[in-house]
Amino acid sequence: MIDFDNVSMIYKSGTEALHGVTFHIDPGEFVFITGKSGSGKSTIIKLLMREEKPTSGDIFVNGYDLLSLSRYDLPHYRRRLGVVFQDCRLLMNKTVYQNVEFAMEIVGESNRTIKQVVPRLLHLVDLEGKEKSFPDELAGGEQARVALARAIANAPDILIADEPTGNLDPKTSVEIVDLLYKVNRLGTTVVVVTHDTRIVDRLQQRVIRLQDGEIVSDTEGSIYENEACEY
Amino acid sequence: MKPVSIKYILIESFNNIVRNKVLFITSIFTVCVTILLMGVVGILLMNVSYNSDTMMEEMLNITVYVIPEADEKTLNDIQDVLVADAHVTEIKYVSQMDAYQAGIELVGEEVMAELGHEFLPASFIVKLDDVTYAHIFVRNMKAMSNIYEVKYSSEAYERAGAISYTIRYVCGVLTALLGILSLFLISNTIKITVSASKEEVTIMRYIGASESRIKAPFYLQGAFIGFLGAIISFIIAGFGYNYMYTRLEGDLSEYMGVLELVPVPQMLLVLLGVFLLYGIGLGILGSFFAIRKYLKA
Repeated sequence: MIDFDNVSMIYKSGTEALHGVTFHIDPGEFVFITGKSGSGKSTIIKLLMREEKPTSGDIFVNGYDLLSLSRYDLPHYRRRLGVVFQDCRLLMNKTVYQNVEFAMEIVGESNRTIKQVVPRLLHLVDLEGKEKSFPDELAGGEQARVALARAIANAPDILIADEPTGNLDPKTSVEIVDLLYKVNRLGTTVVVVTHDTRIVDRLQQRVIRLQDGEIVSDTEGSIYENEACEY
Repeated sequence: MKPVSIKYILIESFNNIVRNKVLFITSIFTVCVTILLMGVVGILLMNVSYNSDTMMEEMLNITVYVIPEADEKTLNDIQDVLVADAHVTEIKYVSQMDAYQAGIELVGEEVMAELGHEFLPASFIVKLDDVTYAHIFVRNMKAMSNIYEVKYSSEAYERAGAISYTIRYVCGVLTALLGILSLFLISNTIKITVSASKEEVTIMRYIGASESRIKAPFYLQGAFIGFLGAIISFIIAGFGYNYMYTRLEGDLSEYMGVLELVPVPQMLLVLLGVFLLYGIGLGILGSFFAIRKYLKA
């Protein structure tokens, strides 16, 4: 499903963000990528989103070779990914319903499908009754739920969450992580980039830990259970 | 494209317009002025083209005036010269009395009675078979003795041609300049819309919207500016031409001579097609410049 093979990334500024990173993620897995600021987590997301191309190494995702992916194929590739951003990136001039609907509209889903799927998604993320609310009328956790609903609106094969609990209180963070897990149980591969050890501990899933652009550990279950919080 | 996509693109285009009303209206106004100027040139050219056969025909008619004192022998000599010319296809003699009668019709009997008929020159109205020979013929006739004046239509048409050329030139330059200004304004309107929609565009790209779907609302907005500009120009030009046509074919018909204006329905049809094509083209081109610069993938 996701293959990073000896991937290195040096930005134009000369900063080496990743060095010889190799990992494989199978379909249906739930994986945390953790590490301090500057460890290379965000670069991995950029590479997965194909915002950037690696300086060296190969990346294969969902059958696509990201190095040779054409401009024409890029939208098709991205349609199979769902992304939840730390700042949610909701459209403030659209309601909750419209934000989710928007994701389906722009990939050309029919009106009928949209009308069937959006209420189901809002039910899944527990936002029934908030359809007509605008993002600035919602609490942080609710905004994160809208972002999650939008990310899974087109039934992606892979869901990438970039610090999904970054701005949330512990209780809400747990709720969001539980939702991510729920999505994973429905068959979607989930990659969560985070430095929040509480959520990593809670789910006891695979953790890839980065440090200075290199993988320092790749383990099943939490590595933080018995450690003091590093970050 | 699926109907839902068309609906989405239309709604987005409309929202973009509402967000930038002032720039939108300014762009339409500039497009409108540009098209109107182009319309003036177009109307002129169409009418010139419509009358070109009549004008050529007129240029083949030359009037040779003989001095008022000319006797019958002189008139016969001149007629012999005309008959001998191979390019002359028709000769019509207008006597002093005929000219006097024509004068009565024009200014009334009282005036003409005071003037008398002796001062009016007799003339030959000559028709040539080749318009390019007209200059040579006129020069030869003027060189003859007892010729008072030689008049032919080409002088008037040359003057009209010079005026028409000046109008075409000035309007052409103005149309080009205003066209550039329109492109700049449309491009600027789209640029502002693109900037306002940056977050939306970023999200669209992350979700996997194709470039054509992302760009279509902006192209549509540009085309809509051009379309509205063209329609407004068409209404103004249409009313203007109809008014001019009514006046020139009515009260002012004597100034038109043998010339005719292109009928209103025929002119409107051409103007509508050309204006729409130009306006929408201008709008799409303006959008293209803005999108190419500010909406890079």
